[in-house]
Parts: sequence; C-alpha cells; structure tokens
Amino acid sequence: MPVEVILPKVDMDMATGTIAEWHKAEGDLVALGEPLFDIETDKSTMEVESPGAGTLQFVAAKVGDEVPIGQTIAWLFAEGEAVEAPGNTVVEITQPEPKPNIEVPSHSPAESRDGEGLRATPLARRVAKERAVPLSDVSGTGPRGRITRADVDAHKPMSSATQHRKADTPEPNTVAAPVYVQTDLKIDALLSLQTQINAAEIASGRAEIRLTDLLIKACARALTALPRVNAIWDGARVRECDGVNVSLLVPWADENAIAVVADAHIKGLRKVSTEVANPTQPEKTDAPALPDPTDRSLMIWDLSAFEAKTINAAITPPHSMALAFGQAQPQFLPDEAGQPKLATILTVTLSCDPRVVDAALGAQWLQKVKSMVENPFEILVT
Amino acid sequence: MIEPNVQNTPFVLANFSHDQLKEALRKMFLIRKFEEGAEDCYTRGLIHGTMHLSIGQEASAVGSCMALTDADQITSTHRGHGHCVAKGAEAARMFAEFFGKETGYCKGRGGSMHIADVEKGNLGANGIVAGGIPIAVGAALSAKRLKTGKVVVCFFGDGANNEGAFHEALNMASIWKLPVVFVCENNKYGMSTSIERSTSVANIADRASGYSMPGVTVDGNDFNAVTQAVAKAVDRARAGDGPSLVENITYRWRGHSKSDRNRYRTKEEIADWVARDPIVQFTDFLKEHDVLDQAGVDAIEASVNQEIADAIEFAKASPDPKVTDVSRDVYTGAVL
Amino acid sequence: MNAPAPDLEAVEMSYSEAIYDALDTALRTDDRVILMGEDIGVYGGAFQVTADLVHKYGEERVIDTPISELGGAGVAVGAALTGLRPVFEFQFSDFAALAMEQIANQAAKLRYMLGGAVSVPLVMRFPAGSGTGAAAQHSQSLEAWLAHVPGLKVVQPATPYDAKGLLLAALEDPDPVMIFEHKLLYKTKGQVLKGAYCVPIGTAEVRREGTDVTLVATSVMVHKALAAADEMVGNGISAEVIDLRTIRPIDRETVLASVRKTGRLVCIHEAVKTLGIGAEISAMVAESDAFDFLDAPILRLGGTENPIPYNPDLEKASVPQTTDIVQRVTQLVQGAI
Repeated sequence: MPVEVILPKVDMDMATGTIAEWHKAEGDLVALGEPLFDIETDKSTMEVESPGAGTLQFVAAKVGDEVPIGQTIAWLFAEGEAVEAPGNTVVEITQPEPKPNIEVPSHSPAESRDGEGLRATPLARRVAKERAVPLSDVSGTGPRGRITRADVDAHKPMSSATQHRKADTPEPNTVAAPVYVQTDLKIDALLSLQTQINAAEIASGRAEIRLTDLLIKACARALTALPRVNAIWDGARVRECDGVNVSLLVPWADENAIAVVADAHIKGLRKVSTEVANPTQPEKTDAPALPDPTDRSLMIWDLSAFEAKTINAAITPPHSMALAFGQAQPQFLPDEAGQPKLATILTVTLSCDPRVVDAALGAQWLQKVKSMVENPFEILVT
Repeated sequence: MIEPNVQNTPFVLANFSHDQLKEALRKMFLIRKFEEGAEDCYTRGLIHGTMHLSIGQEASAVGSCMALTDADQITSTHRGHGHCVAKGAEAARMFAEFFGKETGYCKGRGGSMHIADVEKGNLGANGIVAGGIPIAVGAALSAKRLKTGKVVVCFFGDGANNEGAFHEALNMASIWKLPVVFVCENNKYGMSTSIERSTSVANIADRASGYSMPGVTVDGNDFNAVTQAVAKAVDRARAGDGPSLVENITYRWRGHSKSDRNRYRTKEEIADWVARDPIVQFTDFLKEHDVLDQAGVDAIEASVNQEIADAIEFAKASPDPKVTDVSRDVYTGAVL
Repeated sequence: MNAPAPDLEAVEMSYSEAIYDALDTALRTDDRVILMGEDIGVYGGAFQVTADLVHKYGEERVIDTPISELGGAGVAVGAALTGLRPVFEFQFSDFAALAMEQIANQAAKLRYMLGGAVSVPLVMRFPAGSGTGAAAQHSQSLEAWLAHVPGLKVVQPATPYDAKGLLLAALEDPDPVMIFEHKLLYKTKGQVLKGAYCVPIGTAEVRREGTDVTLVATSVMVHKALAAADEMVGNGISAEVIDLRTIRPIDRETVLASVRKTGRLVCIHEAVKTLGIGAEISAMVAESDAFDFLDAPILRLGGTENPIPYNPDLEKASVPQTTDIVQRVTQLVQGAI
C-alpha cells in the first residue's frame, strides 16, 4: 500500500502550512527520514522528513500553496507497487480568508445627547426613573453638579420654584396660527439702572444682574398690570393663570433649556437672577407653596447671543405668548430739540395665541412692557 | 527480593517471570506505538496543543516501574506518556485525554502534559520542570508517616537537575530518610541545551553524593540495567533506608516538542541513537534467552497495533466535555 | 442559670494563642495532621505561634524544614495529595514568592488538571503585613497574588475567634486554603470558644451595622475601620463595617446587601491599592444590581504604590490609618467626593 504524505501540523495554533520547497520531485526515489519538503509557518521554515520509502508520486501541492494541515499532498510507492492514483489526492488550497468586515456602530444622536453633561449617581437615576422624574429637571448639588438621591428627593415635580427642562425644539404650536406684534424698546434707562445696580452688587461680591433679569421683571409687572393677558388656553377655554410665572429660554445654558421663574412679579431681582443662572433647588424649609408651573402664559426668547434683531417665535404650550428679542442696536433718534441722539434700541416681537390674546390685547400689553422698560424704576417697586 | 546477579544470569531473568518480561516488552511496544499514533493524529490536526514524545526512551520508563506494585506511586514529567503506560494505564483513556474527551484520564482538562492515572499510582505528569520532585518527596513522607509501605519513583529529566526544587527535595528526602527513588532520564538535552553546557557534574548521579544517597548511572536503553538499578533502589527505599538516585542515559529520537526545528543536534547523532533502539535490544535479549521467538514478538506487535487502533477509535467516538462544566473540579465541592 | 456547655465556654486569648489552640486541637484529634515550616519546632516559630507543640507531638509531626520554601511547599503538596493534612507555615508571607511554583502551579491546579481525580487538602499560613519595621521584604500583604488563582481559597482572619475557627475550617476543607495572618494581630485579644468550631470559609461578618456607608475591610484594617466608624459618629455618619474574612471565594451577598442598604462603598485593605482586593469588590458591586443603589462613587483605601519602607513614619504613611479612613469616608458621605 502506498504511503500517504500529508501536510503535517508542526506547530501549536497552526491550521495551514505553505509549501516553501520540495526537496524531491515527482518520480524521485526517497528514503525514510530523508528531507522531503519544507513548510513555511508563522515562525520559520520547518523541514519535513519523508514518512516512508519509495517513489514520490501524485504530488498535489506546489511551492507557495497554502494547504490545510492533515491534507494528503503526495504518495510514496514502494518498489514494484503498482502506481495507481489512490483516492483523496485533490488538494484544497486555502484562500486567504478575507478580513471580517467589522462595522463600528455609530452612536445615534439621541444616545450621545443623553449622556452629555448630566451627572447622577446610579441610585439617583434609578429613583428618578421610578418616579418618572426627568433627571434634567433635577438640580444636582454634588461635585460637578452630580445629582444624588437627596437631590431627587428634594425635587418636587410640578411645584419647584425653578425648573430647567430640556427644550430641544419647541413643540409645534398646535394652539392656533399666532399673531405678531412688534415694537422697539428704548433701553438706555434700563441699561443705566443695570449699571447702577451692578456697581453695588459687584462691590458686595454678588453676581451681576443681567438685562434679561430686568426684562423678566418688566414682563411680570406688565402681566400683573393686565391680568387678562396672563391666561392660557386649557384645551377648551381661556383660563387665567394662578400666579405670574414667566418662562425663559435660557440661551447661555449648554443646551437650550427653559427656566421657569415662578411668581416673578413678587420676587426681587437678585432672586430672579439667581434662579435663572443657577437653577438650584430652594431649601426645602423655605420653599413656599408655589403655583403649578404649567400655569404660565409667557415665554421669553432671549436670542441676544446671536446676531438677530428679533424673530417671530413659536408659541409652545402651555404658553399663550412668546416675546422674542435679539441684540440691541444703537440708533440715532431725535431728541426733544429734534437733534439726533444716540439711543439703544431693542426690537421685540410678541407672538400671541389669538384664542387668548388677540393682536389688540397683545399690543396693549406690549405697551405696558415698553412703559416699564423705559421707566424702569417701576420694575423695582414691588 | 532481589536475586544477586551471580551465575551470569541477567538480573531480569533471575527476578521476573517470562510472562512479566513479555508484558514488559508489550508495554514498550505500546508506548512506542501510542506515541507514533499520537504523533500521526497531531500532524493531522486531530490533537491540539503540543506534545513531548519519548520515543527511544521506552526501556527507562518500563524498567523503572518493574519493581513497583500498583499501590506504589510515581510522579512524572512533561515527557510522561511512557511512565503512564509503564504504570499500567490504558491506551484508550490516554488517547481520549489527548483528544480532550470526557472519557480521558483527566476528563480532557489536562491533555498530554498532565496525564495521570491516580488509581494505578501515577500522580501525574507535570508541565513544570522539576515540579513533581518535591511532590514525590511529599508522597514519600505520607508513605512513611502513614506506614503504607509504598515507595515513590520520581521521574525527572536532565533539565530538572539544575532546578532549585530538585536540590531542595533531594535534601529533604535524605534528611528524613524517605522511601523515594529519583529516576533521572538523562536524554542529553534540556530542550536545546546539552547537559555539557548546563550541568557542572559529569553525571547527574554525582549529585547524589551531595545529599548522602547512593547514585548510579546506567544505560537507559538497556532494560535489564535499568530494571536492576531501580529495583535495588526501590528495595532500599522499602526497607526504610532512604532515597537513591538512578540516572538512565537515554535519548529522545524526536524533538523536544512538536515545534522543535532540531537545530542543536546532528542527524548522525540521532541515527546513532536510533541504532540503539531499546525495543530492538530488549526483543533480541528475550529471543536470545528463549523467552519468546519472532512469532511471539510479531503477535505482541500485532496486538498492540490493534489496541492502538481501537484506542483511537474509542477516543474519537468519546463525548466532548460540556462547555458548561468548564469550572468543575476547580474545587472539591461547589464553591463559587 | 445553667453554665454553658464546656466546649462553648468562651475564654479570652490572643490571636496567636487561638491559632496555637487550633493547631493543638487538630494535632490531638486527627493523626493525619502534620505541621511543617522553618523553625517551628523547639524555636516555636518566628512569631512563637507553634510554641511547644513539638514537645507535645514530636518531631515527626511538627517538622522543622530546611530553609527550602519551594521544596518544603512542594513536599506539603505531595503529602496533602497522598493522605496527610499538612499545615505549612511560611516564616513571612513574603517568602511565598520562593514557593509560588508549588502554590500556584501545583497545589491550585492538580485537582483540575487531573480531572477531579485528586484533592489537595493543604493549609498554608502566612504571617503578613507591615507595622513591625521589617521593611520591604518582610512586610508585604500578598494575599491578592494568591487570590487571583482559581483552585486556592484565601482567608484573612481579623480576630482570635476567626483565627481559630478559620484554621479549623481550613483543616476540614478538601482544597488548599491559604491563611494570611497579620503580624500586628498576633498579640490582640478576644473571646474564643474553648472547644473545636469552624468559621465557614467564604462568609463575611458584619462587625458593625450602619446606614450611610459600607466599609469593606480585611485583616488589621477591620479594626481601623471600626475605630474610624466610632469616630465618625461625631460627624453624624453611621458606617457599616464588614469584615470580609475570606477573599476567595468572596461573600458576595453580604457585601451587596449592605451596599443596597447604604448606597456607598469604601474598600479598605493594607495591600497595595492598585489591583488589590478592593478593586475586585468594587468591580463586583459595579457589575451587580447593587450598582443601582450607589449614591456616590466607590472609594478604595489601600497601600501606597511603593515597597514598605523602613522609616516608621514612612511605613505608616504607606498603609491606610484610622485618620485617613475618617477623613475620606466623611468627605464621601458629605458629598465632597
């Protein structure tokens, strides 16, 4: 019986071997143990000795072929043995396997947005989830703003003084097609007031009051002055709001967020300013019984970070109005003597839900705002 | 028990029956053919890992176990297939182990390098050079302390004689007079490094004097010489006279492992040793002394061939271990 | 009032006396038990733990080995494999490095490698830890080295009661059990039952209940954690202290249950912090459902990243002290970390 010559495994972790050289050719007489061929492996070349004696026949792998281990690659026929093709002489030459195409899943925008910027302990996350409290509504008091369980406990859904809520995009204004009223506010007096206040604030080591804080106060006062405007559409009818709660789209937060300043009409400027800038929870003990913050009629859109004069803002429920402004512009206006005088003009656009506030009422309210802004001491009188 | 080698009767003929000697030859064939079969399976990719073949060393393995009972114990080495067979293991369960099967001696967890047959007193091959030597001394301590009358044969290679464990263990065996026989199978190379380049003494048996025990060097391919030397040492141990060191000079025909590129020895040297085949020598010896004739030899060889073929079939047909059992037998009871 | 049964009577003894008591009990009641180690005979052991046992049981059973840690450990492995119950004492745990081959490659693996055909009922004792001015090669806490090896069990008794109970449990265990004894504990005293008893291997002990933070400590750090917990009461902090006792296998449930309760985890050990047992406990909690109960980052207090130095101030600075525990745990609980 002829002796089978196989491609032997000569190393651990070897699945195939490449024929590097044949020391004998087909038809050669080979002795047992004589070098027959070389295999190239990862490490080096290994000489393979002849497993028997006889004439080399049916060589089925040539130099360079990569052959799986255990494959028959030739036969040795003893002297006088009939040289007939034995069975299995077909060599499978392995094709180098294509490298697997590993797809790296790209992160969906939703995922990356979720993980961004919000620090919370596992316990806080779990408790918030159980109570259906969005963590973005909870103020973290830990290092780097980390939300702990205590923060979640302190959070009273629907009753906190200041809520920061993700405002990815304002929800479509399903209320009605808004009507728009635009006017220019001359804010020099307001700026002058701001300068005076801040001179004192800075001297006493406090944070500066922003222009926006003053505008919130002005709007809140205007809402108090004209209560019919401080109303919302509750799905079936107009309902006056319980309290004066003003929303602000906070432009300086990492992402658009809405601060709600509850009872802005009775709060001092400092308090308003702090709540807008630093949305921490009030101490439990001095948390007053606050109106439902969904009960709010106005959202202010502060776009002063952008080079926009004003926009027609969308109205997002539950609000019935949106007041938008961009950057103030210097403008020459005639003074009493008819001479051009430089003034600072802030153009504002009021969007009104006509079911609650029609154009006339809107304009009337805007007039009140203008009056507050241009005679700013009224703002302070509360 | 030992009959002195007077009247020019070779030791093994004076001390063992013909049946025992035929069985010894059968074991030598079984080792040779087991390893050739394993090598063939390995080159065909049926066995993974690597293996260390002892082809050419069969007289050392079988001769060293001739004086042992089933109750006596051995510790073995990474080149341990021969010791395993010599101590009475079955080829089928050995092949099953090589194939990684649940029916293997180690249930597929050990493979070639940790093959053991505890029931027959083989405490296991060892993947660490000299790892088994202190363990053999510990087993001998148990034998002495528990008064079991057991003797332990500790196989190790020439490479182990330069390990600290060798020296520490021989010293303790000597000071405590333990029933252990240290059998060094000196096949001249620790992997690729020759004993001349690695060892400060001419004979490894010379180390014995440093530990106050007898040391003898014999032709490890001469079954009679090996058997005589180890049997004498076993008798001494069993009598409570302490350990001995026997050095069997032998040769592995194959490389250190299956990855050996044979760059450190010549083909002529290998051929010289192949010409001193211990199986051929022992066969001639038995024929010369009319223990058996060629027909008897052929019959043994044929039966061994059949045993190997059956063993490989058994191994192939055996079940694989369950992957879920991967952590079984780490501890004796359920732990984690 | 009935007097307690004699074997349940508690007496005060030191940690090393408790170990002696356990060894004495084992040698007296089980003929297979032998002791092996350097200078454990007439010398009584480097820390006098084996004291006069050689006189009671003879040199055949209380065996002075040559200074051959590798060989000696190997002999103990072989003896355990073949019917004896050796208790091998390392003079210092640091010398385990010399015997790692036999511990990690042989003792731990023989049963597995042989497909369950054998067991290695071996007990090894390792006097460990710093605080004695013995510097870098005689002060280490190497228990995590061994605990990384499947097949070994590793315990760290912190009290005399546990020292005896865990040693007797180790002697009843069919597998190799490594006992790390902190040298500073040898002279500490506590109540120990007179008779034989076992503390189950693999069980932790809540040493003090609390609600704000879980301190998981080992060995001598258990005492420091308890002292810290006492001190922190003044800061309004209620700390639960768990004595881990066994570091392989870890008592998962006791740790997880405590973390679920307190929401904060601090791991404290003397061994070098990096890749120590505290890392394992932290990861175990982070991987478990108890993660959802964490209300603060996990803290680890461990040895600094250096060999143990000789200078006493440096030596102290190299391992956590009670004040460190108080400071860090207070910061954690008060939300400053």
